[in-house]
Amino acid sequence: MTERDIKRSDRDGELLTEKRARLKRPDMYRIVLLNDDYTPREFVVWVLMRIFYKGQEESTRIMLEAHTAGRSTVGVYTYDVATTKITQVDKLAKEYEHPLKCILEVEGGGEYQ
Amino acid sequence: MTLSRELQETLKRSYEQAKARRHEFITLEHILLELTYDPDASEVLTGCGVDLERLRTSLEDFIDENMPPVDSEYLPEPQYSAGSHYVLRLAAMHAESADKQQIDGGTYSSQCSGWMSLTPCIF
Repeated sequence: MTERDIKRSDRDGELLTEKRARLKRPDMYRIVLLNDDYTPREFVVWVLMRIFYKGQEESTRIMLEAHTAGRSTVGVYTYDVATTKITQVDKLAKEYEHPLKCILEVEGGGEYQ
Repeated sequence: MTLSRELQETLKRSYEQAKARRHEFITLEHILLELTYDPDASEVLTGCGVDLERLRTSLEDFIDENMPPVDSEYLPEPQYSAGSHYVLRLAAMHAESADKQQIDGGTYSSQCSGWMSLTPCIF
């Protein structure tokens, strides 16, 4: 078999490989509360209690952390739950005319099985 | 555009599941879990090579691990999540373009990947 024949057979031939699906756990998403200079503290605490079911003390801690550090992690959720909660926060903020903002960050998933 | 009787039953079971688990949202995972018992959806899923029993176990584990019950005295009625609404809209568009009058479990399950693909899913 000449070199040319080998090249041709490489082109024509089909390599049979066993396909093995690799499964991955879905990523989890972190909701981060951003600080702003206009939203009242009480409103932020109320939102954290109402939408994220945090206690009064924890809500105040998260609010103060965002106030001093500029941002604070509220919780880690699945993508669907996280986006729904962010939509709820946006809706309430708009309703009460405050510029409160939360963002999503990927927390990272893991290998499954 | 209406929902098939079976899909209505499936959505009702998803709601009951979410409520029983004290979850605030009826997510796609809740619905997909119940779709495995839906006659139209299970036919589509099996046709795509899905092992229904394994999918159920994966979803049950995923829900138990990642969705803790709401720890509050006050629990509102479970609401459909953003993903559930989005997939329902996709299913409605799909049924519309296929000239169908109804959205059934098969159509809904086939559109789940439209949202799930955003988060690499476990099935």
